[in-house]
Order: sequence, then C-alpha cells, then structure tokens
Amino acid sequence: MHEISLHNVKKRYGTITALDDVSFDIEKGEYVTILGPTGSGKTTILKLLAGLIEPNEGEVRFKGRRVNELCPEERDVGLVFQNFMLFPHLNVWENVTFGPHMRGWAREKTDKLGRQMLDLVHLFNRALSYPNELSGGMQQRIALARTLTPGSKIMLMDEPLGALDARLRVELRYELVRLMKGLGITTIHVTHDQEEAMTISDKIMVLRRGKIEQIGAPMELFLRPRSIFVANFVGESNFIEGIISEIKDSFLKVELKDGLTVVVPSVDGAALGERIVIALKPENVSIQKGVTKGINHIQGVIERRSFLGTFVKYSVRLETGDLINSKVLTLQKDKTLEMGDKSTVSFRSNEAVVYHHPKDGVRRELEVE
Amino acid sequence: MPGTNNAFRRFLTSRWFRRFWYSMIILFFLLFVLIPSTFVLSHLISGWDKISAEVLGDGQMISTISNGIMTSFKLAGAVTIIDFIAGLPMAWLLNRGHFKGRRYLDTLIDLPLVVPTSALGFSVALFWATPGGFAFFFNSPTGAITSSFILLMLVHVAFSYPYMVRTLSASLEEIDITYEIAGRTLGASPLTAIRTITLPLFRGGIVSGTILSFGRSISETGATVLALSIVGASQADGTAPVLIAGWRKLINEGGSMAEKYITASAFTSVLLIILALVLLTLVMIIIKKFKLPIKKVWPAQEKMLSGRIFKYLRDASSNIFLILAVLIPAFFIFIFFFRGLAQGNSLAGIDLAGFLNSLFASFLIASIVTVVNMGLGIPMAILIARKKAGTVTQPLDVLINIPMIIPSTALGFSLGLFWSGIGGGLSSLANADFLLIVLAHIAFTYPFIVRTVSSAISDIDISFEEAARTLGANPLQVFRKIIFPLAKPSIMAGAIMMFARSLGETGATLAVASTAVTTPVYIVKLVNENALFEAALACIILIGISYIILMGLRRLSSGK
Ligand SMILES: Nc1ncnc2c1ncn2[C@@H]1O[C@H](COP(=O)(O)OP(=O)(O)O)[C@@H](O)[C@H]1O
Ligand SMILES: [Mg+2]
Repeated sequence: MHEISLHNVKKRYGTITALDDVSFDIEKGEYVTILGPTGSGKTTILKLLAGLIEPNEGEVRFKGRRVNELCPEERDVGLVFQNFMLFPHLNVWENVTFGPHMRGWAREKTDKLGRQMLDLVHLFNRALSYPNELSGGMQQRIALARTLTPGSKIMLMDEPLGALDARLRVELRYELVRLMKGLGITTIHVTHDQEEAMTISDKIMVLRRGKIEQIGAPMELFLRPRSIFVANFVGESNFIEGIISEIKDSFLKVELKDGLTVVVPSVDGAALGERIVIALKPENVSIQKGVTKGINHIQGVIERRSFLGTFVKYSVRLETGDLINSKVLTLQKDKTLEMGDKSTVSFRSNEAVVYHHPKDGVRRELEVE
Repeated sequence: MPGTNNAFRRFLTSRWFRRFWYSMIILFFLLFVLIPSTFVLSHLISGWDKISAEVLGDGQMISTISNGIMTSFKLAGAVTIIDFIAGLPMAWLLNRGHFKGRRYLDTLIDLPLVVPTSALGFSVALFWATPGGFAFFFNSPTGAITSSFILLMLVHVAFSYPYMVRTLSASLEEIDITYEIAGRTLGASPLTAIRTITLPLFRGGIVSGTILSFGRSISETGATVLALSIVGASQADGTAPVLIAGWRKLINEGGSMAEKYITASAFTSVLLIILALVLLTLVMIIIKKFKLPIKKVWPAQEKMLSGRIFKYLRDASSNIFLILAVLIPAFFIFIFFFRGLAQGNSLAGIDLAGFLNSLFASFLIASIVTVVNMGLGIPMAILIARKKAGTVTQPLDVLINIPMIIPSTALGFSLGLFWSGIGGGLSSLANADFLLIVLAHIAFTYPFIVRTVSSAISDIDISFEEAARTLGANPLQVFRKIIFPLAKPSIMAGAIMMFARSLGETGATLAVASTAVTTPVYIVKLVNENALFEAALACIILIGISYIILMGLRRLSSGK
C-alpha cells in the first residue's frame, strides 16, 4: 500500500490549469522532493495533500483511501510554510504546543512533546521568546518543531529553506533529512533549487507547467534525464543539434552543422535523416590545447573562462557555431588555457544522451515559465 | 521656459519648503480642528464660578444633566455591543465567505451610509414605533416599541452598524489568512482557528470599530430627537446632545435664563468630552490587554459548532439582522410615504422655498467640507503614515481621533465658543452662521479622511516609493504616480464618509447656529410640527440626491 498517491489529478484555477493529470506514489518513510521552476504547480500539490484545496478531477489517496474531501484538520498531515507563519501573538512554546492543544491532549503529554521537539531543534532555551525575536534560522526550526509535535507521520514542506541565507540553507537541509528520517516520517519537500534536491532526496519529482516530467532517484535523473528539460534543469547540459546519417547497432552517426560527424548512443525510434538533439554534461566534456583528432573531437576557440573553485568552466565556440561548456578540475596548473586559445573538446560516446528534436525547438523546451 | 519651471520645482521639493509645508498642515489641524473642538474645556477653569453657582447649585439642573449623560452612555454602550456581536459574523462573511452575491451584500451594507442620520432615525422610528410599521403585521393599534430607550437603541444600531462592519471587515482583510490555514493544518477546527489565531490578531480592528460605533452613537442628535418625538417621549428623557440642542434654542430666544443655559451647555459638553475620552481610553486598554481565553480548547464542541448547520445558522442570522434591524427600518420611509400618498395625504405643511434653500445649504456645506478636508487631510495622512513629523508623529496619530470621539454637539458648542470668543467673534461677519457650520463640519469630519487614508498608505510598501525615488521622481511625483493611484479607493471611501457625515449632521449644526436651516434641521422641525408626511417626502428627496452623489463618487473611485 502506498503511503501517499495522486491519481490522475487535475487542478484548475479559472482558466489556468495548475496541475494537469498528475500521478505519483510515495512510500512510507521516503524523503521526496518536488523540483520545478516557479509557477510549475509545486505549492498546488502540497495544498491538495494538506486538504486546503480539492482537485477538479482525480483522486488524492492516503494509504489507498480516497481523501479528496477530508478537511485539513482531519488529515493529520504537517505543513511547513515557506514564510514559517509562526503565530506572531504566541510565544515559541505556545506555537510549538499549538497542535497538541488543538487536539485537546492531556497537559503532561503536550508538555512532554513540546519539550522533546524543542530539544530536537536545540531551541528549548528560547521557549518564552516571541517569533519576532528570533533569527530566520531559529524561526525555521521552530516552524519545524511546531509541525512535528502533533506527531503526524506525513510532513509537507513548501520551500522550507527558501527564506534563509545561502550558508544556513546548506547546513539546515541535512538537519531536515536527519530529523525526518530519525522520526520515520514520510516527507515531501518542495524546492526550486536543483542542488538542494539532488543532495537530500530519496526520490525527485521534476515538475514543469503542471506536469510531471520525470520521477526518479537523483542519480537516475542526472545520468538518464528523460527529457531535454530535465537534462538542463537537473545539472546543466550542453545541447547540440544534428541529423542522423547512419544507424549502427546501438549507436548513431550524427552529422552536425558543418558536416562534422559524431558518434552517440541511439534513442528509441531513431530514423535515418531525423533531426535529433545531443545533450552533454559539462563535466563530461574534456578540453585540450591545440588541435587533436579522433572520434567525437571538435575544434573551437575559448570564449570565456570562469573559475568556480574546484572546477574551471570553459565556454568554447565550436567550428559548428555552437557554444559548449566544459568543466574541468582545477588541478592542472600546467595546462591552463587562456581566452582566445585554439582548442579541441571531446566526449565519450556513451556519456551523451540523445533526444528527438522537440517540435517547438530546443529553446522553447528549456524555458522555465 | 524650462529654466524657471525647474527652479520653481526645486523650490517646491526643497527641504525648507517641505518643513514649512508640514508645519502648515499641523498648524491647520491644531487651529481648525483640535483646539476649537476642545476649547470648551478651558471653560471649566475660567467659568468655574458660574458653573458652581448656576449649575452645581441647582439640584433640578444637576439631575437633568446627569440623566442625559447616563442615557447617552448607556445607549452608546449597548449599541456598541450589539453592533459588535451582530457585525463580527457579517464582517467574516464579507471577507472569508465564498458565495455569488458577495458584492451585492457588500453594497447593501453601505446603503444606510447614504441615508442622512436624521432621515434614517425618522424612518427607523416610524417603522418600530408607529402602528403602520412593524406592528402593522399584528394589527396592533399601537407601535411595536413603546419604550423610548429601546427605540433609541434600534435607531442608533441602524446608523452605526455599517461603520462597525466596514471597520471590522477592513481590518480582517489585512490579516494574512495563511495563519488561519496554518492553524487548520495543525488540527484546529475552523472555529477554533478563528478564536485562537485570527481574533487575537484582530484587536486593532475591534478597537477602531468600537471607537467609531460608540462615537457615532454618543454624537447623534437629529435621529434621537426625531425618534423621541415620534414615540411621544419628552425631550428631557433624551440624551445629553438632545439637551444641549434644546438649550441652544432657548439661548437664542434670549431671556433671563440664557446665561444659565450657556453655562449648563458648557458644563454638559465638558462632562461628555471628558467621560467619552476616559471611557474610550479604558476600553482601548482593556481590549489591548485582555487575554482572550485561547488556552482552553474544546475540540469536539468547537468542531461541531464549525459544522455546516451552525455555519448556515450564523450566516443566516447575520443576514436576517441586516435586513430586519437595519435595511427595512432604514428604508421604511418609502413605504410610509407612498402609503400616505395613496391615502391622499396632502403636502400642505411643506414650504417649498424653505426646503430647497435648506437642501442647497446642506449640499454646499458638505461639498466645501469634503474638498477642504481632502486638501488638508491627505497631507496629514501621509505625514502620519510615513512618520515624517519625527517624534510628533505618534501624539498626532492619537490626537487625530479626538474629534471623532467627542460628541458632535459638544464639539459644535465648543467650536462656537472658540470662534465667537476671538476678536469680537465671527458673529460680526455677514454670513457668520454659514461659516461656523462649515468650520464645525470640517472639524468633526477631518478624522474620517485622515484615518482611512493614513491606514491605506501605511499598507503600501514603502519600497514602491523608494523605487520611484531612485528612478528620479520627486516627492510630488511620487504622490501623484504612486501613492494617489494606490490609495485612491481609500481616499474615495474617506470622501464618501465625510460627505455623508456632514450631510446627516444635526447636533453640531444646531449647536453653532440654531437659526441656520440645513435639511436635517428642517426635517427635525417638520416632525416637531407633526408634519410627518411632509417630513417623509423631504427625507426621500435627501436620500435620493445623496444616493446619486455618492454613487457618482464611487464611480469616480472605481474608474480611471
Ligand atoms: N489561488 C490561485 N488563483 C489563481 N491561480 C493560481 C492560484 N494559485 C496558484 N495559481 C496558479 O497556478 C499555477 C501553479 O501555482 P503554484 O502551485 O503556486 O506554483 P509553484 O508553487 O510551483 O510556484 C501558477 O500558474 C499560478 O499562477
Ligand atoms: Mg510555491
């Protein structure tokens, strides 16, 4: 039995379709992120699960039971808001014990839970402070504690780290996973930050324009993105367009713009003469000074160099006219390339991913709005 | 000539000019609003001998005054409580309800605002206290209500209720509904979420609603006088403002007792002002400090009360209250008039020229007052909302409310004293009465525009203004391009309230100039002469014209 499922759910606001035929299953104890650009429908999914809105079509199911019409207070689902929404007129203790209080639980039980959760987020010493006296990070942890005290086994978090500064965001995300996993809670964490999603999830759901593009483990999404959009959104990609000139076993020979050919893995339904798009992660593109020849070697000129710390990123203008990014480790002092240097980029055939050419063009496919 | 134009503009936006301008705004407020309104307080010291001799020494007088004041405060208190209890669910319905006719309901609430209070009081009293009104359905030979106090309560509720609902619903709108939603996801039933989260965040709205409702009730003169005369009660059973209006008439007639009545009016005004200030301050403190019993939760019971049936019951009863206690009584006058017309009543009592003159005077006064206060109140609103007056801002923000809390009769009396006491007084001027009335109306309507606009402006994120400034706009342009368009609905709402308040006011008008005849005064006179049918016609005409003007203003505010 799946802990949470959406089954062919549609949600419209007037003429806007916020969710279009969304289905997924989430298992007990999983830490799942919903990743997607702004406006893609992430918050709408959380609202459906929390019972704040009802779907126009389809079913929301908890443990296989349809809960479409169940009101929020009966779902026993915790929701952490992006701006925390700590009640400004209540102190930390009153905020954190709000849930048990609402359920009319006994005093000792409520106190014990409040204490336990505040200890868990290391803020028991601030129990009597008011929300406006706390830093952003503290507010975040109190919001978390408040959502945990009623003991819900499902936790929904809407960009829970979005309001924090970059450093804190990175620190707290591991804390979140540790807490939720420790309590055996099934979590759905909404974010638009692909790095955040990659580092903490058991499973990522990529959402775009109200539709699910792909669901899978982070590694799977990174290595085998099922669409051009996912390839670009989950770790960036280079895209090169070409035409299939030969099909051989599981490989394709592809002719690029200036007649150059490369060899890449095949794709289902590939046909001779078809336009395709090759996606290449910058990490998989190597770069050498000068002109070297070989399979999948393309010449170009370095247009830009950016130092990223561990990596150096080169942008190379190829003979084909395409601009391609290459990320290489910052170790090889001796081989540093300069802007304007003639150089050769190369990649291994099986590290490229091939897609049919999208009918609206590559650029449209990559748009986030 | 762009050169001079620029120099002029630089002058207008210079720091020096701005300081000067702010000082002028504050000065205006002090000289034309605050000091005249409270001037009578000085009488307590300068005229103490007279007070102790003519008033305190006269047991009869003392008991008249204390009766009047008791009635005023009992009435205002009861009315405020009723308004709050009936208004809260209505404000909720207007804000958080999801139903088709919400916009119409919204307009219905405002409808009584277009009815000048004296006309409204007349209509409500006719409905409840004459055999042809509510009692008609029961074939009763007398009116449904015979107690003058209960009748006054019904009258005051009808005209103060819209102010309460409007204020509560405006402040409710500002509370982020996400707090309530957060409460629900944490397991609170709808009722519990409202009680423990929204209500405590809502104190500011409750305080302003109380002040408005209470202030409106304690000020009202015209409606009270009319209701009393319809139920056949002696004016001496009335409220303190009714007493002052009565004395004012006697003062004008002159005679040996005139001096004594002036002293009595002054003393009563002082008492009204001080008591109203003290009481409302106390209420404010209590509401701010009072801890709602949010610690206790009854999950099962509150869940049941959140249920569909109770929600329907609540919504239905607030609608029934609106219709039965406010709308039907307020507009009963139309039925009364047309029934009279069908029965062939004559309109002999109406003196057309006099009536038209009064109409002209009323609308002229209301228009002047609205325009003047827009010009002088909006800068004050900006001053307060943006804290431009430094440390003076906070006290100003409080002082602004005073003319709203002071009973308008006391205010009018005080203002009359102030202006006639200066340099031989305005009374030497040809149109002194007219000018005095305008000044009095300016003083008591001023808070309406300042309050509404300043709260609207403080809601506008200052970042918009900052952005405009960094883009090169000067303060005047910022006002024209940013503040004005964003605050326009509130500015218009303030203008509508001022206009309606001025048009309906009887007490302050009578207190500064008892011979002047505005329409509300004219209507009071007709009723006192028992020319009810003619009075009804006058009311209907007044309502009709107000309605057209207010709809016009509203269209202005919704259009471009
Ligand atoms: N209450 C609403 N009324 C109208 N449209 C809405 C409402 N809430 C969301 N939308 C629209 O639905 C789409 C999805 O919104 P949302 O779920 O909030 O996206 P996300 O959280 O991914 O940014 C957006 O196009 C948004 O404009
Ligand atoms: Mg969102």
